[in-house]
This record gives sequence, C-alpha cells and structure tokens, in this order.
Amino acid sequence: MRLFETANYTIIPHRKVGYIISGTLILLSLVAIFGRGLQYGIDFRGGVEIILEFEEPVGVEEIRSELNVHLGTLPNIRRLGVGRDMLIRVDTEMPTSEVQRIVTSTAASLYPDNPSRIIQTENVGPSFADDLRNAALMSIIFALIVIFLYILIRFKKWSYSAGAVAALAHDVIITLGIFTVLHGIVPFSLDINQVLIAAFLTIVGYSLNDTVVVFDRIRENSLIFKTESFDKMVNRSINNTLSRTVITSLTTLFVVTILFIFGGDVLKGLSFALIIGVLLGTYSSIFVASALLVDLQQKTRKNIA
Amino acid sequence: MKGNGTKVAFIVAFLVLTIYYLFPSFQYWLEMRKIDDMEQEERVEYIRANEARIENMREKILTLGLDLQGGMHVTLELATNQLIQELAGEYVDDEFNEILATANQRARESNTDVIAEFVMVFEERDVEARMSRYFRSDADNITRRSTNAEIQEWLLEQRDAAVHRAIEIVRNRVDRFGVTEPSIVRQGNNRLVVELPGVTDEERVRDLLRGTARLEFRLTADPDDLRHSLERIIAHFEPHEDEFDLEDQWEELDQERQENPLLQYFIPQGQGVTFGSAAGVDTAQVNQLIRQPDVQRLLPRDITLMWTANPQFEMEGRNYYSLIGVRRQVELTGDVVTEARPTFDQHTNRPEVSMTMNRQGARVWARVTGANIGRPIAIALDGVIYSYPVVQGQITGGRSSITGLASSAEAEDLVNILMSGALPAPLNIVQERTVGPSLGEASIRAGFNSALAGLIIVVFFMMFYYRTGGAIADIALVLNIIFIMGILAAFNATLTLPGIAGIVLTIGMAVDANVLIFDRIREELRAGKSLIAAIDSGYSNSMSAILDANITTFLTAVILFSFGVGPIKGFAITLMAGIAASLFSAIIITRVIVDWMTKEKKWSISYG
Repeated sequence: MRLFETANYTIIPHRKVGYIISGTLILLSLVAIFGRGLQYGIDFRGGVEIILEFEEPVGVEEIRSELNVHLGTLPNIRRLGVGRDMLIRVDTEMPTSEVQRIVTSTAASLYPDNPSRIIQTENVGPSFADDLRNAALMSIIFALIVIFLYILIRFKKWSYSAGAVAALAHDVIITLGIFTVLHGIVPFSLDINQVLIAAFLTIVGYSLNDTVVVFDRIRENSLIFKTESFDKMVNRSINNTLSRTVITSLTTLFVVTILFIFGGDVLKGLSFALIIGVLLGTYSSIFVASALLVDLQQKTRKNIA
Repeated sequence: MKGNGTKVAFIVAFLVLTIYYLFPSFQYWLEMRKIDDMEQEERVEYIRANEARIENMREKILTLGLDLQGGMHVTLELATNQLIQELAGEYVDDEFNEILATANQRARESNTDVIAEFVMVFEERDVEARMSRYFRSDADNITRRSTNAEIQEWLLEQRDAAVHRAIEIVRNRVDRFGVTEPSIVRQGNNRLVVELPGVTDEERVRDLLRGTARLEFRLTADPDDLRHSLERIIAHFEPHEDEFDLEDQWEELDQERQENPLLQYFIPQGQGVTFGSAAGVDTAQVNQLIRQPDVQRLLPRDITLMWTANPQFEMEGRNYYSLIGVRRQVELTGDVVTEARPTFDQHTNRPEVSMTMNRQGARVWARVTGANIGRPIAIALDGVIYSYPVVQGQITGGRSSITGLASSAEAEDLVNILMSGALPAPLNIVQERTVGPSLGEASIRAGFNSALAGLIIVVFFMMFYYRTGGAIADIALVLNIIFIMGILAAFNATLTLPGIAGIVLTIGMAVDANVLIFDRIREELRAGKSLIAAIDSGYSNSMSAILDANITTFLTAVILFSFGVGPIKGFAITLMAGIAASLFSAIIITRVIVDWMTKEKKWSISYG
C-alpha cells in the first residue's frame, strides 16, 4: 500500500489558512491560560496529596464536606478510575502525618463497612514547589534555546531556527491551553506537574523531529532545484516527505493511544499530552515551521535586494 | 560484503553485552518465581540459605523506581538559618536574631539563599557594620578583622560541609534502619534526596531523618518559682484583671476556662517541675500563647519550658503531654556519649536506652548529680524531654539512661540516632512521597500490557505497509527494545513509570528512521534505479535527516535529565537509551540484513 506517493498538494500558497487556525488556537489558549490560570499539580503548588483506596466506590461530596469540617479547609477531591480511589489534595501547612490521620479517621467513621487505606502520599513544601516550577520553566526555555542554536549551526540560516522554535512554542502553548480548558471536565488528571513537563519536552522533541525532516528535504531540494522559487520548493519538499510524516505520526499515535487507554490512571495525563502533541507536531511542522520559513526567507531576500 | 564484517561484529558485540547485562535480571526473575511457588516455611528456609547469592544478584538487576515497587521518596533541606545561628554561638544577640529572621523571611519569599540574604540585610542596616562581631573560628582563621566577604565565603563553606556531614549521618541512620538499596544524593546547595524502597512506615522514617540528635542534660526549675510564674501567666491571659490563685476551687476553674484563652487548651498544674499539661492536638495552640515575649518575661530568667516526648496521662480518650520547667543552661550534651544500647528496665520491663559517657563527661556528670541529690534532672532530645528522673545519689561511672520510651522500636531508633552522630543543623522535610506496593504492581502491569499491545500493532502495520522491508524493520524494533533494557541495566538506571511510557513512546518513534529510509528507497525505485542502487542511495540520502532529527531529540532528553528529578530523570534516561538503540538498530541492523538478503542471497526485497 502506498499513501501520498505522488502527493502534490498546494500547501504553502494556502499557508494563510494555517496562520489563521494557529493564531486563533494560540489566542484561545492564552485566554484560557491567563483567564483560568494554569492548573498546577501538587509538585508545583505545594500541599499534601493522598490517594485513598476504598473497597467499594464512594461519593466525592460526602467525603469533601466531612473533611472540610475536620481539616478546617476545603480539600480538592477527585475520583480516579472507577471510583474506588480518591485523590485528596489539601493546601495546608499541617504535618503530613496529621493530615493522614484525619483522612483515615474521617473515612473510617463515614464508611464503617467500607474499609479504606492510603496507597500514596505526597507532600511538597511551598518553597520546594517554587523551585520545581522554576526548574521546569527553565528546562523548557533552555530546550528552545539549545534547539535554536543547533538548527542555526546545521542549517546556517536563522530563519530555519526561528521557524522551528516558533512551531515548538506553538505546540506547547496550545497543549497547555487544551489542558487548562479541559481540566476538571475529563475524568482523569490534567494537572500540570513534573511528568507533564516531561511530556512537553517529548512533544518538543517529536515535533522537532518532523520539522527537521522537512527542513532537511528543503535543504536538499534547494541544491537540486536551484531555479525554482523558494515557496514552490518548500511546497515540493513538504509533499516529498508527506508520506513519511503521516506514517511516523500514525505509528506513534497508535502507541500513545494504547498507552492512554491501557496505561493506567497515572499515565493518562502524560499520554493525553502526547496524543495532542503528536497531532499538533505533525501539523505545525508543515503549517507553522515551513510556512514561517517561507515568509522569513522572502523577507530577508527582499531586504538584501 | 565489504564493510559489513565490522557491522556484524558490532551487532554481535552489542547483543552479547546486552545479554550479559540483562542475564542477572532474568535470573533474578526466575528465582523470584521459584520462591513464589514455594510453601511459606520452605521459602523462609530457602531465602536464608541463598541470601548472599540473591543479594548479589539484586545489585546487578534493572532496578524499579519507587513508583513501581513502592517506598518513600523524601527531600530534606538543611535549615541554613539555624546553622548560621549555631555558628555564631555565644555571640548571638537580639539584633542578630532580628537580622536572621528578616533574611530568612526574604529568602523564603523570593526563593533565594539565606546566606546571601543574611549578608545583604546585615549590610543594609549599617554599611560599616562588620559581621566578624558574631563569628569566630580559630581553625579557619575567622577573626575580629575578617571582612564580610570572607565571612560570607566561610559561611558557604560551613554550609557545604554541614550538608556533607548530614548526608553521612543520614546514610548511617538509614543503613542501621535496614533498608535494602537506599539512595541518598545531594541536590542543589542545601538539599538531599533520600529514596527508601519498600519502606512504608512513614512516621518512623520521618523521625529518623529529621532528628538532630541533640541530647541535653539540664537541671530543672525550682518548684516554687515555677508555680509562681504559672499563676502570673494565667493571670496575664485573664480577661478580667483579677489575680489568679491556683488555690481556688477547681469548679471555678472550669468556669474560668471558657474565658481564659490559655485555659481553653491547658491544664495548669504547678506541681514539682510540671508546669501543666495539654492534649496532643492542643500543644501547638499552647505554644503559640506561651511563646509570646511578654509571657516569656513572666518566667524566671534562667528557665525555659519544654514538652515531654510522651503522653503523661490520658483523659477522655485523649493523650496529655506535660510542659516541664528546665534551666536554660545545658549541663552536658550528647557528644560525651560513647556508647548507647537499647535495654529494658529491670523492674518495669519498659524499654530504655542506656548510655556510657567518656571520662570528661563522666566527671561533669558526677559533679552535677552530686550537687543535685533529691532534685530531678531532665534528659532532652531534640527539644523534648524524655525523662526527668530524681537524682538518688552521685553517679560516678558516667552511666545514664533515657527512660519513658514508648516502644522498643523507639529505643532502637534512638540508639541509632545517638550513635550516628548529631546533625549540624535540623533537616526539614520539604517534599515527601510514599507509594504503596499495590499501586506499583498495577502500574507495571498496565505499562507492560500497553507496551506489548503497542508493539504488536506497530509490527503488523509495518509488515502491512512496507512488506519485507517492514518485517526487517520489525526485527530491528524488537532488538531495539532488548537493547534499551540492556543499556538501562548497564548504566544501573532505574525503571520508573514515566520510564515505561518512554519505552512505549520509543516503540512508536523507533520505526521513524526506517520509515524515512524506506520512503526514500521507494522514491529512488520510482526514479528508475535498480533495487540495490535504490537501497544504497535510500540509506545514504536519508542519513542527514535521521541524524539531525535524533540529535535534536537527544538534546531535549539531556535537558530533561539535567533539570528533572526522580521519575523524570528515569523518563529522560529511557528516552536517551531509546534514541541511541533505535539509531543503531534502524540504521545498522536493517542495513546488514538487507545487504545479506540482496547481495548474498540475491533475493528481491519488496518495500510495498
């Protein structure tokens, strides 16, 4: 079977459509991020988080109101999976052992016939959470800088670097936006935490993979088709690599979707981010990175001329 | 087949290496299965007989992260402000404390270093002021003439040394606690990360890690003075300006309680050296009230109050702890203790810790006990009082014991802490995660299943889309996964849950290089080249794209590794291993197979 063997789509001439779609998505994402605020997980905001496992599924509301009384603050409670596991998050300076004691005794008195036990506890101090957040932000910024420099060295033109990095920023911002909007709506955790930062950097790596493959073809074609205009050549290169782009995206999508479905609760957020990332990465390598490259190149050429 | 000899040699070498590194893991897995099948008694017997061998094996296997096997992950922070105070020692005055408190506050708010803030606050107050007023060290040549910069440098050095010492001490304690494969590493300039697989007894570990092991022997307050202060302090909290007299009827006291904020939580006693008692949950409230400076002034100048470590009595189902009046001056500290061991009281059979002191300590101990016959002496550890026995007679042999322990486990931990040495400054737990073993098992299963399912789908897809070429890529893919495991085992990396996700992701991305190559070969074929020529140029023309794409991804993995902690590092390592292994298998292994098929066997390969 052969897909896109003789692909000859007119993509670059229609790049304005891509700009409009991407621009709108970025704008919406930024509105969501600044409007609702990033929904940090325990490691970025601090506090105590406990996963309590019951024998039988229980309701969230009862525990929430009862714990509110005993803890003196409203805990954030979420059901994991089929509802036997409860994720309880408390913003408190109370010692962990105290919170654990309150949670277990509350659960025991509320459901005497439904035994429960703590299967995971996490406690992060506020200043430590700040440190983790800064490290995460630094790692993403640092990654973008390193990538900018690497591409600059390999492709010798800053417009390649700018196109690639813009595509990556595009992917990360929109993924963050989707996470912020869907947080609390979907039945799995979309907290922005360290694992998610790992997912973001993987998305960056993956999206870059796609971009570099297209750029590499552009570089190669620019030596062969010297007389062709730059935008036509970029369009040709995108079509040349389209088959590969789609196949790799497909195989990667297969595995991350399986991971999302069968990988368990803990990996749901991570694999969801990867699914979005693979889709966005594939799109952005064509419609953002390559399209911007064309515009930036034409601009610099005009300046030279 | 010119040149392929080297390639084949490489492949074989890597395979052998991988098997070498993975063999212990496989062996261990077989061993565990064997043990699982045994009867309970037989199992205990077998494990005891083969302990050394199994232990040896365990050191070489692919270790599972805490999120997969359960355990505790704790990040501790050295309390730098207390270290600074400690270093200033006897020179500390009110102004110093004020500066330190401000510096600490600022460091916390703006997430900076306490030492830098301390120097800054100090100089802000008075540019001319010299920090040498507070710090002296003959050993490090810190004198009255030292400049502020020198002292800052010295403080940083001291902190560095303190963290080093703390790591040693924590390691010592953890080793004595008996955890298999604990990991203790330094993070940043004042933190250490402790990972304890399989440990779920959180409270015990917390106490073990945090205790500074500051053992103190102190004289106690004069009962009459203490009682007098107690009356004045209660009166201080009286809403009505009456004098408070403990001789009043207890019924009246009940009424008073409603209005007096202190009495709401606190039962005044004033008997002997006991100031009063409060329920465990209320001690924080009482502390808050009593620590106020104007309340502290009502106490005798040389007296301070300390809680007992264990409940003194029970009332209405609640445990009550007592506040004891002790002298501010410390008579003896724990560094004179040369030996400590857990024992049991001969009469009550309660656990206790008996200690032996060195000569100098024994001399002081003899003098102190001799001068205070009939009076209680308090034995305090980390700011709480374990016991305050009444001295029966002069003790000359340098022996003493800590009684009032809750369990023999506590006695053991205490001995452990005493013998590991005192921490230079308290360690605070800034982050802590405990994962139960059951959660880990479920995660492993889920991760393993999805990896397998992902692998099967990709394998079939590749065969369907690229035919023979796809099948060759599949061989490379399977080898690739084995290589990743081998690399992880060789580098002693830890497999974490995100790490498994990393491997699953690699399965999807690993075929990318082959997809690039195969698509290129198809193009070359379409351009009219012969199969062998198409394969040649297909491999060589796609090389730059493959390398660039993988190097950039590798760079992001390196960044992830250097900034991330714990599970993230695991993810980064598997990603790096995955990239290295997939490059090798996708470029070299498939090439060797393809060459062998086309050039040796003269077969034709279909690329779909």
